Amino acid sequence: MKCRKVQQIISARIDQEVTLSEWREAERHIRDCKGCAATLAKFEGSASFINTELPRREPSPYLWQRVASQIASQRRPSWQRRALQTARQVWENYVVRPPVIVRVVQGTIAVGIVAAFVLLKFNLQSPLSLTQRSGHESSSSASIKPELSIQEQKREFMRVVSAQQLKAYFEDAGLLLLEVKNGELDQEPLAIESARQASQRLLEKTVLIKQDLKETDQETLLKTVEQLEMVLLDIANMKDSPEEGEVALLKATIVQQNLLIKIEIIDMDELQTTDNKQNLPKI
Amino acid sequence: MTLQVGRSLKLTPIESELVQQAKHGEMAAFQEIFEHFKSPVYNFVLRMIGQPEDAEDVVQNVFVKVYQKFHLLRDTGYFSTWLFSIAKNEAINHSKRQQRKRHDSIEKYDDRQQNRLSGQQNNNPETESVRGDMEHQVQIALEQVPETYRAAFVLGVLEGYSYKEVAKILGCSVNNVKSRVFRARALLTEKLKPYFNIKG
Repeated sequence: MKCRKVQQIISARIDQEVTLSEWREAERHIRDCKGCAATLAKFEGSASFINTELPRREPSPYLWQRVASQIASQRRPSWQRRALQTARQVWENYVVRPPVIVRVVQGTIAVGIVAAFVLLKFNLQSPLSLTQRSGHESSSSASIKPELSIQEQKREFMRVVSAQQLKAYFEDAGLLLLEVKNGELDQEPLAIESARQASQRLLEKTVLIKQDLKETDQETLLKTVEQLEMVLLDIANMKDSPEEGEVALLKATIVQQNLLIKIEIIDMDELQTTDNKQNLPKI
Repeated sequence: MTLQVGRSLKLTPIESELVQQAKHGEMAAFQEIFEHFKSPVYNFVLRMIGQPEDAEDVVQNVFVKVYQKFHLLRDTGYFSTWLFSIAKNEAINHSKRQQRKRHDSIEKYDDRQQNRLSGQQNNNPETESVRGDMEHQVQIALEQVPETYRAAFVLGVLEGYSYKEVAKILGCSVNNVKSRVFRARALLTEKLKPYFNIKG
C-alpha cells in the first residue's frame, strides 16, 4: 500500500470512516513507515486541537424574526411573479421530472390516442362510404374515416371505387375464362355469343386498366392483363361455329399461361387496405 | 478526542411531516424546521466564512431561499442535503464577494479581522480571551484551505456528518470526500503545527 493511500486512511480513521480490514492493512504499513506513523500522530493531535478550539456557536436569538420579516416582505408577489412561479412549478413537476403517476397518465393517453386512430382508420365505417359503395365491393374493403375533410373523402372514395372496379374486372375475366375452359363452346352457339359479348366488355376496360397500370409501375399486374387481353381478343373474334381445334387451343392457352391462377392470387383486399392506395390504377 | 460523530441528515417522520407542511406554506412548520436546523447550518456557514455577523446574514438568506424555492424540492427526504447544498453555495458566493471587496479596501479588511470575534458569547472573559485568540488562529488557518476542501472538512469533521452524506451535499463521490478531507486536514495540521504538541 502506498503512503498516500495510507495517509488518506489515517485521516478517514479519525472520522471513523474506514473498515476494519482497511485499517489493519494500513496499520501493517504504519509499523514499517516512519513518515506515515508521524502523519498518524500529527493528525490525531490536530483533530483533538481543532475540535477543542473550534467550539460550536449559536446564532442570534433574533435570527428567526429577521428571516420571517424578509419572507413576509416578499410573500405577496405580483400576479406576474405568481404566474411565472406556477408555470415554473408545472414545468419542473410535470414536464422535466414528472412523477410516476403523471407518466402513467401520459402513457395511457398516448396509447388511447394511437388505439383510437387505428380503430378509426381500419374498423369504423362512415355513413358516407356506405351510401356510395358499388355492387362489387367486399364488406371489409370500403371504409372512409369520418374525420377526413371533404376533399380527402372524395380522394379516398375514388381510390376505393377504382380498386373495386379493378377487382370486378378481374372477377369477370376469371369467370369468363373458367366458363371457356370448362364449357363446351363449340357445341353451344348461345354460349359463344355470351362469351364474345363479355370479352368485348372486358376489352373496353382493358385499355384503360393497362394505361393506369403503366402509370403506376405495376409491372406484374400489367403483364397479366396483357396476357389476358390476348385471350379475350381470341374469344371476341371467335366465329359462331368455330373451326375444329380452335376452342381446344384456346383452353390450352388459358391453362399454359396459368391465367386463372394468376387472377386468383391477386389480393384485391390487400391492394385496397395497404398504404399503397395511391398507387392503385384509376379506371 | 472530542469528535462530534454520528450526526445524521436523515429526517425523522415528524421532521418529514414538518417539511411537507412548510412546503405548502405553513409558517409555523417552517419556524420549527428553522429552529431544528439553524445551529448546524449556522456553524457550517460560520466555519466556511469566518465572520459571525456575516454568517448570520448568510444563514438568513439561506432560509429565505429555502422558503422561496420549496416547490423545487421533489422528495422531502432530501431536505437536509438540499438545505446544506444551498448553504454551501451561499457561503461560497459570500466568500467570493468578500474577496472582491478586500481587493477594493484592504484597510477595511484589517479592521474587520480585528473585530472578527466580537459577536461571540463570553461566559468567562479571561479564559475566553485566550480561547478566542486560539479560535481565531484556527479559523484563519481554516480560511486558507481551498473552499472545496474546506466544505468537506467542515461538514465531515466539524459537523460530524458521514462521508456519504457529505458526498450527497457536495455532489461528489465518497472517495472524493475522503481525499478532500485528507487534504484539508494535512493543510490545517501544517499551518497549526506551532500550536499543538506533536508526538513522534
